[in-house]
Amino acid sequence: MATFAQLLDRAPGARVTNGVLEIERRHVLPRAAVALHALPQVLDAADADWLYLDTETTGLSGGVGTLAFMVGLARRDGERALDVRQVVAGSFAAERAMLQALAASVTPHSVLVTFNGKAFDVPLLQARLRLHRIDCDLGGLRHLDLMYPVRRAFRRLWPDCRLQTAERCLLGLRRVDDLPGAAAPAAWRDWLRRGATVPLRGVLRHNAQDVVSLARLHARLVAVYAGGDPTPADHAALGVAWQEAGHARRARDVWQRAGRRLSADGRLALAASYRRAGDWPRATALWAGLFAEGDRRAALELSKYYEHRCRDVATAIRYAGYCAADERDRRLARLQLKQPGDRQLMLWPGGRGEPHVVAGAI
Amino acid sequence: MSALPRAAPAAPPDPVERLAARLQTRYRDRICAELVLPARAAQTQPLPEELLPGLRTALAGRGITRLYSHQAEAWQATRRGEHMVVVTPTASGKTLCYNLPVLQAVCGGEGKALYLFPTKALAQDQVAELLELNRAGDLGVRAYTFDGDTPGDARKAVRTRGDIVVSNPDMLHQAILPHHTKWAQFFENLCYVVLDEMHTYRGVFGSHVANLIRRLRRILAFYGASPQFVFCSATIANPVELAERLLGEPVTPITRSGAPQGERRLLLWNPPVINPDLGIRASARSQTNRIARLATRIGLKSIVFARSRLMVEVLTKYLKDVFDKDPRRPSRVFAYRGGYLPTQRRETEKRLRDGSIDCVISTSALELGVDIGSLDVCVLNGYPGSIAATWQRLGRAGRRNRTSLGVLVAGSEPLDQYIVRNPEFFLDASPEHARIDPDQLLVLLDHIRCAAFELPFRDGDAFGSVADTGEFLAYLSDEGVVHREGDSWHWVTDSYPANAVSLRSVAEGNFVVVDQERDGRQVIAEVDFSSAPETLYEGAIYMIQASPYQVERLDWEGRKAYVRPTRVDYYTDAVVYTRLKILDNFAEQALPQARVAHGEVHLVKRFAGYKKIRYYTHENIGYGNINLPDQEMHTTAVWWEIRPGVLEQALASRQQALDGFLGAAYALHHVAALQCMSETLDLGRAVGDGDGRWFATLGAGGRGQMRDVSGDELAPDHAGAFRPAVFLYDAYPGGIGLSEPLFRDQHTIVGAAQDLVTRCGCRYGCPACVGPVLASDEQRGYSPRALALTVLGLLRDGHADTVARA
Repeated sequence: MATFAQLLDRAPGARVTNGVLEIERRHVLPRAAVALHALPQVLDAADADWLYLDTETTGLSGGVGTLAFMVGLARRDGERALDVRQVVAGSFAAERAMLQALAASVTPHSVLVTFNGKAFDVPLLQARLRLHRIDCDLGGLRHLDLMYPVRRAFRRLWPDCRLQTAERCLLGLRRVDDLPGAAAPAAWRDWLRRGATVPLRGVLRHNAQDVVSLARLHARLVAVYAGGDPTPADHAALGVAWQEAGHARRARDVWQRAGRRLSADGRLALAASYRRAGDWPRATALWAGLFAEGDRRAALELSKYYEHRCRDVATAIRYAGYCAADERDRRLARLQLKQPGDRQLMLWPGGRGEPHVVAGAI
Repeated sequence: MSALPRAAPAAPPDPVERLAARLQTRYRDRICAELVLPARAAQTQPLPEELLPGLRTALAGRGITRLYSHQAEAWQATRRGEHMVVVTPTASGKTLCYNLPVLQAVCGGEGKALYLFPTKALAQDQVAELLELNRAGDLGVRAYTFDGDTPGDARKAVRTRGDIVVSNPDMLHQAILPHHTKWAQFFENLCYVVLDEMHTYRGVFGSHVANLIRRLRRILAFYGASPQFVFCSATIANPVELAERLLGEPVTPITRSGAPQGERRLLLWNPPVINPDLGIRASARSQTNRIARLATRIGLKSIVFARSRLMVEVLTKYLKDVFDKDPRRPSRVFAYRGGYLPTQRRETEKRLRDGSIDCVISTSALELGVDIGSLDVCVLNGYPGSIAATWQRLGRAGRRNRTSLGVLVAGSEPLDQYIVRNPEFFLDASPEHARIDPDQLLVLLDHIRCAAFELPFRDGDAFGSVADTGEFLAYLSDEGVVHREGDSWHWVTDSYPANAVSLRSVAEGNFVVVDQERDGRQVIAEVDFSSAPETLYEGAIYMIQASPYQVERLDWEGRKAYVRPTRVDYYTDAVVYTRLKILDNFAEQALPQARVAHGEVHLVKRFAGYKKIRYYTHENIGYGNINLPDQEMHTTAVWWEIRPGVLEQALASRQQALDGFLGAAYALHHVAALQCMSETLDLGRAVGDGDGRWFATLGAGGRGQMRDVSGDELAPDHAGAFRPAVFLYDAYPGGIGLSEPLFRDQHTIVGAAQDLVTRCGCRYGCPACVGPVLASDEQRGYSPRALALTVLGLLRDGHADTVARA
């Protein structure tokens, strides 16, 4: 039966206490954005104690019978240094000590940073902490789950939004010789039953890589959400994320910065934010541009603008004729009642074509 | 209670009395007996001193100022800290027996409660009732249901804020226990666990629930909680035994109801004999139909219980033909059964409560405590198979201070005939024993597996009555499911074992019935796996609220049946052949002329074809084929064989032997069902040889036929050994422990079967003893009855030592 000593051979910075293997190593990160709280989810968390966390478990099925045998944690030290600490339970009996080590590294100011940790890692750890009656409210901490901002920004552009995909597309990282996360359960079982160290070493590497990626991804997402990142992203959705979090100003900045890359949806949203701010010239300019591209929603906005803002019913009617069918019929019926003097009867064939002005005064 | 015939009073004012009087005058010769349960006055006690003021207000708000005696008794038992089982009739205020102590505990800040009901619908009724009490007393108690319909974001609130959580065994099994740490706070404060409708926890389901309780208590012990358990049950013979087997600890029985009850009358009705020589009676169906029609005509609300889903639909059709002829008017007649979509069922329940249904026809689905308001008349189409179910169903009619009427219409089967001829059976009223076998190996292993997932086992840990789980854990370790480390066994696999274990032993998944006409793809019903082959074969007429749909295509793999509305004047009934092969003898007993044994058998059901049966005339108007895979299972059985040589001496031909065995099996089956107090459907019968080479069926000519494994007919005198055996088997995979007591009591059972046949008033055999016989047999003097008696005689003679085989 192999011991942790054999794992230690290849793992500098490692020690074993109470059956728990601890490995500490420092990584150097590429130079990156500094205001790590500049994301819609955590904008109020300046000076947070960012704690990157990723677990390796005995399974993906969930429930109390699934446990994490390895927890990777990382904290930043200054701008570029990342201190990675991995704790591994060498047996079921050691799980308790491993969880205590985890609990000891958490402070009330910690903000967890994970990938899909809200649905997976944290509930799983919380269940095991309760089972061992360790007083640590992991679920009560602030938690930035990077999967959500990634999905928001890239859902429409990437085939999927897994961590590996994000590494490839955002960090330009391609893992070589990586043991897939799904192989982790078998690796630990092999260690327990046969003392096999090779697969477990693979899991250690994989987990360390995951935690480092979390830190890099975090910084990179700050750039993406600022709107200035060159990577193709769904800028319309980025702005909406800021807007929903109550930061209209930042939403507008993102949309403005996207410039030509902004989709029709984005421009419509930007125009709406100008409208709310009372910046009519900018709003109408955007609508006019969209209208020229045949956007029926812009026609609706212009029709409203001319009706309510300019009190120009005739122009409002002209634009209303280009709205989507259901809106068009309602608006036209109403607008025609408003129109002073000459009334026009408008008929349109089959509901889809352009309006035909048929007759003069009624 | 009295069984004395009563003279019909002159022009009784009450419509129920009027109907009863009318039936008694007009059909005097059909009514074998009338049982009258006299009205009973309430026995009450003052509210307990220590009851919280808020609860007093709540009770006063609901018009309660005193407790019925059983409620007071229950209160005292819970105060003493005892587990208890409450067995009182429907509508006797049973729920207050547990609601009161629970609310006292919750309002007094002592703790929380978990309520488990067998079905979701019942759970929802219960929460509604709790909320009413809560409102009446402004108690601020938070009672929530937690079931498959509880939305994800509400679940956390239920776990952390619920004072009373109402759920069902399946949820406890699959969602709560495997995630018990999320419920830590709830479990730590749990002081009551209530299991209502306990009588449904019998057989395989009951064995699962007993193990589920073992798992629950294991988790509770982990959280340092030891709540009191309260069981509530309809009448069964052994409520205390069942509760104690479920819980594994002594419980206090509360069985004397102090609730008032209106007079209840029960007529035992035997359909008239239409062919005295063959002992053939008019069908129970025609009589049931007639009684329900009379009741509905004079404006009474009635409920009809039928024994099968098919019979529900047929009766519904006949009653709808009378009362729902005009499609512009709202329907007065409704069917209710398992298989209808939940929304349809809720709708029917609602209509029942608000009184807009005049007649409902149901299977046992309405036997449970679903709130359906009060009805006047209950008609049972055939004996439900158990005394408990009979009273439970009859209890569906009856309002507090009014007379209610029940009519039990006997079918032609021996059990039915026995009961109408021996009404004292009802008076002595030894209702059935509900049996469970929590230590059945497969069930036990499943739950130890789930328990190992929930908390590691340690060496020497017990699980219920299993003193040492070591052997099981070693097995699971060999399977690679758990890992032994030091003195503990830990779950080590990536799987969620509760998902692989279904409490209701229907793991194979439901079939859905898809109407191709409506939107092309609308699901109109669900059919459970076990009954699908008998109801959804291609060509079958599937009925919903008596509207016929024809099955056009059955997607067996995809579990879908595609149907289309149709207009036909017939329904279909599947022809099923069963054969058995003996796998293992657990024990056997040698008799002078025969041998009886019990053990494990392999059972194969073949769906050979179906009959088309015309409405009203019930003539057979054609056959169709069914192309479905055989259904196989392993179960336990008891069987009787006659020694080689003896049979040839006693009977002239193999044909006679077949007929004798089939008749004997018929009688044995019905006597055994009564003896082990199970429902006839829980027990199956078959005649064949022990190697499964051939089996016997009743041919269209009423004569026994031998068929080979593929269902083709064999000549009885074909070459080869001929060693017929009668099998009675547990109709559930793995068995539920019915065959072992049957083996033990085999001497009594064979004797009782002999008695039944000997004492029957017919000449050559009839449906009340050995099964129906043909008119032509009767003319020729061929007597299946005599043949069956010969076989039974050979099976009974003398008894010898039991030889148990390891």
